[in-house]
Amino acid sequence: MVGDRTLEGLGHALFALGLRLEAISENLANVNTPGYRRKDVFFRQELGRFFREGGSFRPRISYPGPGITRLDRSEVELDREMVALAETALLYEALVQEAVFKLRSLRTAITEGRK
Amino acid sequence: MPEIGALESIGGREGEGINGARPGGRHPSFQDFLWEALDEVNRLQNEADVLARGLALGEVRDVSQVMLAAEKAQLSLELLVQVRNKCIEAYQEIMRMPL
Amino acid sequence: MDLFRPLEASGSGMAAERFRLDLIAENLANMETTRAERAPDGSWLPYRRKVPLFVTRPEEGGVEVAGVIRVGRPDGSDLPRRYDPAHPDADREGYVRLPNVDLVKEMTDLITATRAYEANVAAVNAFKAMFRKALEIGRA
Repeated sequence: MVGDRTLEGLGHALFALGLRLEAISENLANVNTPGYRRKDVFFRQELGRFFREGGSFRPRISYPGPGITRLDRSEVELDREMVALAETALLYEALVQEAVFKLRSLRTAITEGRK
Repeated sequence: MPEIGALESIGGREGEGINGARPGGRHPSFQDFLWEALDEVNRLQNEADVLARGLALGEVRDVSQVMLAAEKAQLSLELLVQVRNKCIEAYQEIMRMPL
Repeated sequence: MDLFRPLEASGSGMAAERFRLDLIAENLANMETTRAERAPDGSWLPYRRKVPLFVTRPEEGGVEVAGVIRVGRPDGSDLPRRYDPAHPDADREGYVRLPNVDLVKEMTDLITATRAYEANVAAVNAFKAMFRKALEIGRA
């Protein structure tokens, strides 16, 4: 745990993915809301920086829409959003599994000294 | 933790306070390491507690943060316990040596 | 509750789309209703198509129905007309004004609403799966 940014980084990624899931849920709730601007969360660059240098971790919440807001429809495209939903959930579960493995090996390292 | 007090006397540093004060020019002792480790365990436990309360109050954004904090606190405590056990074993072994 | 914000957003989406489905059902049921309400002069006005007004909820997240819009002019002057002199509500020239409900449009909206509803259900399930998986950290 000391000096190991892997576990820390996994935690950061999970947090960011949780935010992304929230954004996607918002988007899907507003898929038929006229004038709604789509939200997304970006964190890969920031996470890469964190793994290299440490320090703070700040995922970005942004509105990557086409920029031209159409007042008669939502910016959300249902099918694309569903793909984002699947991506987010699956990656989240995979990273939790990674964290579990990491924690298990730490626990093994700590307790295997027992006679 | 009475065992730490016992280690202190082995180290032969008379007049040194239990709080592990560091006069200038001295190498950090094993005792210092233990106290720092204890602080760290404390810190992690507190963090885990804050998040656990946050979870109960629905203020936490992502449940994984709470779980990770709890696990880290738990592991750090387990590590400390293991180190302490090793210390006691070492101490007992030393005490068994014929003088 | 910050923790379950995604669920609340999804829940609001489901509620909004169900409301839209209710209005679609009402529109379809009243496709031929020539006497829906009375005009100021006492004459009958036909049914006008209802659509929900969805707005984003900025604080709690998600969406809500801000109101119901009745499409078209209140005096019914832009409603479609059909020549049917035998109809009890035909005017002097033999034309009847009918509701502005188009079957194809309503069915399209029905499909849109249903897909959106199902998408919100998928979001709920994704959240639940993620949440339960995260609990496994505690069993590491």
